[in-house]
Formats: sequence, C-alpha cells, structure tokens
Amino acid sequence: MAGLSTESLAAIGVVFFQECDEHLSRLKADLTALEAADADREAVTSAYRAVHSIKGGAGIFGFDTLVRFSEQFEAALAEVRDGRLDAAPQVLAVLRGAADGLAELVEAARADRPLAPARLAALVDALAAIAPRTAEPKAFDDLDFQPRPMTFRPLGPEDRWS
Amino acid sequence: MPQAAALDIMVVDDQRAMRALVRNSLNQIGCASVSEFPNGSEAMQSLKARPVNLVVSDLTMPVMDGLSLLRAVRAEPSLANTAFIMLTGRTDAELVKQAIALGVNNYLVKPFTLGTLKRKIESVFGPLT
Repeated sequence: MAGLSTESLAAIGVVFFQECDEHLSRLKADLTALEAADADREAVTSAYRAVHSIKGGAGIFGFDTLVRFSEQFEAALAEVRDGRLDAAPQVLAVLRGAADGLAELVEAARADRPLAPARLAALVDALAAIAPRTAEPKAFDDLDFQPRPMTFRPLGPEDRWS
Repeated sequence: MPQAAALDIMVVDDQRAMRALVRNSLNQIGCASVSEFPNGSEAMQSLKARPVNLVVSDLTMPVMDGLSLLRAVRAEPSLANTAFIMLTGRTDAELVKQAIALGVNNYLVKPFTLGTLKRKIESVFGPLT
C-alpha cells in the first residue's frame, strides 16, 4: 500500500499472516461443519467471511493471485450460502480442495514465490465447474453518489480518546 | 475546515491487520485520536457512551456487520453529528448501494492510498489542516 513506511507495512504483514492462519483453521472447521449438517447457513457464512477476510488483507500487499482466487472462492461460497447451489458431496469436495489451495496460495505469498501455474489452473477450473464466473466484479463508477458533507463539531474533552 | 488532529475517529474491522493499516494511515495524515473495535456491536456500545466525529467501518464482520452499525448510528439521536465512511471491497457495489440508502457519508474501496483516504474524509468535513 502506497504511503506507509516499509517498517509499518512489515509489522502489519506479520499480523496479516497470523490472521490468515486463523482464517484458514476456521475455514476448515466450517467446511467440516457444513459436511456434517447439510445446508448449515451459519457455517457457510463463517466460511465466506474467512475467505473474504483473507482477500481483503491480501489486497493491501498486492497479492493479486491470492485476491483473485479468494474472490472466486467466496463467490462459490456465496452460491451455497444463498441457496443457489446445493452443498452436495461433490460441491463440498471442491470447496475442501479450494481451501487447501487457498492455504497453498497464502504460503506462496508468505514465501514471496508464485504457485505452480498448473496447480493454480486446476484450482481455478475446479471452482469454475461448480460456480462459473459470470463477469468481472462491477466497478463502482456507475454508482450515482455524491458524498454527504457534515459539519465538524469538536467533542468535549471528556469525549476525546487521546 | 477542521484540523486533522481535532478529529476523533473510530475504526471498526474484525481484522487486526486492517485496523492497524487504517490506524497507521490515519496517523500518517495527521489524525491522532483513533479508537479501534472488532465489530459493530462493541463499536455501538462505545459510541453511546463516547461519540466520535467519524466512524470508518468495514462491511463484513461477525456479530454486527457494517450495515447494521450504520443503521444503528443513524437511528441514534445523540450521534446525529457522527459521520460514517464505509470500507469496502471492490466486489461490494451492491452493499455500498445499501449503505448509501442508509445514509453513509462516503465509502472507501480497499486497497486505498493515503491520498484517497484523506480525500474521502475531506469530502465529508472539508479540507483538513
């Protein structure tokens, strides 16, 4: 991310990878729960959030492959969460494979090396088979929005945080 | 035209790395008074006791997400002067439309630069000094 010192970014990077490990553990547990209880909305929502969180942090550091794969993975999870895709055994097998792939991509990012192209292509194709990508995410350009100004009113000393 | 240092800002995100990033970025543009919360519920509890000038919140969080927090802030009369900027991913346009309908002041797409963060705050409060 432009503008922050190398030291600050390095420190944030350490936290990011710690959180990735936490998210990956949660994702694995969520997929197990989804397998045990068919259409467990709570588990699939939690799994979605785990992948979404990895994607958000990866964007800070420009891990583009990790961002794009996470985007595709969360789109597949959203299909299950929103009831457009049944959590059938073959779908769950693909989601578990995608979770393994996501862990490999996190490790590749941590080691600053690319994932083997053939492995990445296999992961992407497997996800595309259960939830084909429709289009690039919509840009925000078409939003008809003007920022809403607000008058600044200083808070009293008792309300200040520092 | 407020001084950046005069702004009290709350950052709400379930990810520690993202909170650290936003806090560091705010500090870099001169905003020193920054509090952090991991979800909307804890943020709202604090806001009722201690309002801030600006909430910068993520959308997707456990317990209470960003849209629910925005809805709660807009429904609370004592927070009528609290501005709200939503942090969002590039695929979240539909959720941003909901945030606009709920009265968000502006939104910030991740990843962002310091310049963009400053411009988004200035679009709400005017130029920061």
